[in-house]
Amino acid sequence: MGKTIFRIWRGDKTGGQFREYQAEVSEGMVVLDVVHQIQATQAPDLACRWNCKAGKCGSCSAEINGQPRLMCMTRMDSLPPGPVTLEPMRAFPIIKDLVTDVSWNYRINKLIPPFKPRPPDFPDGTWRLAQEEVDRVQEFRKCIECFLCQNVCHVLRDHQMKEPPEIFGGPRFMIRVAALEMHPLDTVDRLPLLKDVLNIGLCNITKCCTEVCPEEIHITDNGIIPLKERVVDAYYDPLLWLARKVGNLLGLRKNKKIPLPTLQKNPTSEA
Amino acid sequence: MSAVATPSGILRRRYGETMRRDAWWLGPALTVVGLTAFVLYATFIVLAVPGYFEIRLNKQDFFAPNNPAVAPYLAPFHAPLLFDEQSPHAWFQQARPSWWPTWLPFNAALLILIFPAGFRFTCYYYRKAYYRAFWQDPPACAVGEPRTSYWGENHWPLLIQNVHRYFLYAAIVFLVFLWHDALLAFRWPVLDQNTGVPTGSYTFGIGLGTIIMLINVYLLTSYTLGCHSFRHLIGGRKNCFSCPVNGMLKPTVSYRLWRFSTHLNERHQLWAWLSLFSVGFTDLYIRLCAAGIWHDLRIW
Ligand code: SF4
Ligand code: SF4
Ligand code: FES
Repeated sequence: MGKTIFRIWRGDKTGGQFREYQAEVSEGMVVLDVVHQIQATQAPDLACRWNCKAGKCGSCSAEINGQPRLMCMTRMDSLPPGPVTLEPMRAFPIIKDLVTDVSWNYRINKLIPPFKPRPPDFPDGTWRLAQEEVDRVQEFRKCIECFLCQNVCHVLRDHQMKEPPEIFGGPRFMIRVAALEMHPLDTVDRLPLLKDVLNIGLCNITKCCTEVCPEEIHITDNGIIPLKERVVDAYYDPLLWLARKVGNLLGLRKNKKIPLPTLQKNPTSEA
Repeated sequence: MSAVATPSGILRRRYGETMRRDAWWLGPALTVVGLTAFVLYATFIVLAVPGYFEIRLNKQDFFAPNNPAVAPYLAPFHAPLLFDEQSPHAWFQQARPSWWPTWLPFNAALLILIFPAGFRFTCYYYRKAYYRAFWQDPPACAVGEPRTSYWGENHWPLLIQNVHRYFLYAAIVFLVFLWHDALLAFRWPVLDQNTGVPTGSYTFGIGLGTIIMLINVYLLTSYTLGCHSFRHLIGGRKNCFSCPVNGMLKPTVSYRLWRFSTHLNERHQLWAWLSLFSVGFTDLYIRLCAAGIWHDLRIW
């Protein structure tokens, strides 16, 4: 395939610019191979995060020709001819070169109450489930936490709604909640969290998360929209509201209010 | 280059700025063209062209007295046809409801089209399409946006999108009407051999319009039953399809329905455009035939 020009963003949180490198591309190479080659031959100080080189660890997220993608899963022969631009993810603070600080995502993750199953169905402490009950949540469990969806989501990327008063949990955590909420055995109600803390209403279902997910999870159609419908059930549907009121009057329902968590301060922020 | 670092070290793109090299603007541009064309056509038909929703004997003057229908079609923008003095599709054989003030022009289409229009306007697919194409929020993935402020659907006015399921209920009622009209399109009036005037009896028949109406209602059904709210209603809202029979581990009716709706839902965007196009086309076809500009083909 011969020589290809790579324009790689170099810099840190004080600023940076694109630098040009010539790479020798041969058959079967992926973008991460080229980065390794440039590190080995021209720029030993080029920072880049990677681990598995098999699309499974979610470390090597970057923007290749402006598209959020995994460097290890982007074959050079899938790119159009001409120079290739390579930049870090835009939604997160830069550490150095292609490496960004994604720790905000871990703070969001802590807000979500974990799986809490109902008491076992059988004396031996087990449950029985049909395959089709699990299929739906299995899709969400394929997530490799590459945060490409968080990066491309315009609510986080362009509007930066990451700190109180109004934060958006982002697509990755919407599907984490979906995996728990739709689980047949789980007993926790995370709808108040979805509506008032993770602010699912901020998603305007424009589906960029789905477009970039390397695991091809249908984040919007199978995760976020079904959750939005459940939030409508619980908060906005007037007929269901009436049915609940009547149910409460007749003493058919028990309402438990649980306190909502708040986002913990960023331990490393100077402010 | 134009990458500017903010104090937090986060690089925000300006409006339209992107490193993408593909034709990211093409999708939104086609959406603008498609939706604008449809809205213009619908507005024109509803406001400027009264009548001509079915093929009548006298094509020059649609509202002439004793002007019977000579083909069993009904233009979909006029379905359901509640009030008409002559049409066999009409539910009430009178020009307007008796309580309607005479000084107010009666336009049933205007009242009726609110429901399908509302269904599409609040549809999760169309929301994506017009938020991107018209509101540019975002114009395309990883392309800079025009505004920094943002409310999403978390606040008024867009909180109203949560009403979608109520429009779905109306859309299901409409499907029943449209299937009824499509099946009626097989019931042709028998015309007098010499004068072409309907004799008053009916016979089975198929015209090109029948087939067009049938395809149209099929596409509309596929669009409606793949609706995200429908998918939620018939099964998606449950966590467990086989509970409380749990242990029997048998796929239930709601599981099957949910799978069926999921199957349609995977191509919701495709059904949305196909059915939008077919409604417009079917309507135009029947109106052109009604005005004598085009001639329908009788197949059977
Ligand atoms: S669909 Fe929602 S969560 Fe996904 S990228 Fe768009 S706004 Fe973000
Ligand atoms: S949902 Fe997809 S894009 Fe988002 S973090 Fe998981 S694997 Fe990555
Ligand atoms: S290196 Fe693990 S996903 Fe790319």
